[in-house]
Amino acid sequence: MQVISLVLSVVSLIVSIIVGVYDKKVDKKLNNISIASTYFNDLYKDLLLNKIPQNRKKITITANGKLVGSDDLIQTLKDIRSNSLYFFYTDVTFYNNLKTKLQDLENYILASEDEELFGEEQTTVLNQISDKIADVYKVMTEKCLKG
Amino acid sequence: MMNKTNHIKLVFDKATTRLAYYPYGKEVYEQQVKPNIDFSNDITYIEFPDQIVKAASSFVQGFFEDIISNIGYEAIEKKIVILSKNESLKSSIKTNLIF
Repeated sequence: MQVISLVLSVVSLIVSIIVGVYDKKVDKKLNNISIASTYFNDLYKDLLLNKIPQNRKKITITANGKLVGSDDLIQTLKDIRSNSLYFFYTDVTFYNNLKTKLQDLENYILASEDEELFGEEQTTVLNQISDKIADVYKVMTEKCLKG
Repeated sequence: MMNKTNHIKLVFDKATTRLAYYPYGKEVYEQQVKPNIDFSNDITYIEFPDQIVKAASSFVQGFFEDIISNIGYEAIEKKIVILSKNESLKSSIKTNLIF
């Protein structure tokens, strides 16, 4: 009887330790997510929720096949890059990943502006721009959820 | 004493109005600037042709990488002068150098 009681006490202690460690990890994770979401709110809220969608709408293709109206979106990409400098010091992997996605989009838009786009090319270019914007959102959302 | 200067005029295909991509920035620098630049000069003028209206940040970073490693960020403003008819191109090159 005493042995069973001792075993149960030990098991109970081990479970308590495991739950305690797990709770601490969860708390730390939630804390990191909370900090990240505060920073994201301050650094990017208007850029992500308003500027990118509004400025994406300004990009069109003219009757002679030229991609136009990208200046404001390019400026928004630069604003995101400059607002991200905090992460250059705190999470350089995220900073570099984000910078790559932003510059990939900027490069694609500028290179496309020198092309004459007709027929399916127009759809392809506009879809590519949307996909590359989605890539930027994805990198940022992942970072925010990861903390 | 006279300032030592040199003047490098960049040449691009006439259809090119936008400059993009880091490797292309490096390529233009290696082919057109590196053979002609002397970092001991007081001022180097780098002239972009009139048709160039925009340069992507990655192009600028590729183009200036070797210059920065030779003279540093601070000296660029004193020793490298960008010439272009397009004021927005000049200012965007400056901004893109910082980030």
